[in-house]
Amino acid sequence: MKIATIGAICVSLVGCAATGGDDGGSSPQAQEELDSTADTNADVALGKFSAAARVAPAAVRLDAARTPAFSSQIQAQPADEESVSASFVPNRNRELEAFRARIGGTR
Amino acid sequence: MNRMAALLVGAASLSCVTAPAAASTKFHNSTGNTIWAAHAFDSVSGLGCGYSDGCPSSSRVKGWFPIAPGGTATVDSRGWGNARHEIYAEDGLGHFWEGDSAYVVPNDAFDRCQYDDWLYAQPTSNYYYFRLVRNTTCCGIGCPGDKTYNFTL
Repeated sequence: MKIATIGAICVSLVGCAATGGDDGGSSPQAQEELDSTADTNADVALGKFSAAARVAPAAVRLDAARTPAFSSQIQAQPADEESVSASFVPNRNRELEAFRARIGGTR
Repeated sequence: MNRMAALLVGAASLSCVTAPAAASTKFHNSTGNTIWAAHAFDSVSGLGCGYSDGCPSSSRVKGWFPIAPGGTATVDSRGWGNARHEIYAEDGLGHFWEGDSAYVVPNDAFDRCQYDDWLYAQPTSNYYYFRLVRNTTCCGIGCPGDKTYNFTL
């Protein structure tokens, strides 16, 4: 029963960390409990996640500073962004006149 | 001990559940010129789903959003996935982000329903052709809350 409860704590902690919660503040007591259940899958997952979270940002910064190609790669557009491109029409007077009026203070 | 562990589990779970869900539609100016943008959207609204745009039989249209080079404007702070979206922008230098949907809007700031008489009564009102960028709506789990449109040349 005790092991099952501690396992549930581990799963909850992993879930929060994966969604951006604080993963760096476990108490000594909690850490001791985690250590005592090192043979559970939840512990293994937590350990892997923590290690990755500590290493990845530094590695990204380092590589981005050295290699522009990699920099553009890591800045690839995420799913919640979308590019929209312009068309160039230099002689469309009506819109340009309206634009100038807008700049002139009608906004 | 069991009771304390249960409390910890409850607190951890609650902190996950109550984390505020971000939701917004943003315009980002990736060009070197100031752009002026407008936004039209038509939301879905139901029990526990989406939101009302206040325009029962048409889209809501808002503008103008002046966005400096590299700047970002939050044009709406509700769930992006809950609505259809159309956008328009220009930079005064011949670049237009436009499409096929005609809206009548003035030079002055506006936040109206698509067929509001006020829009048509403004002396500077004219047709602008918005670009459809999302033609579906959704609700609930899996429905995306955020979107940033990057305006590029």
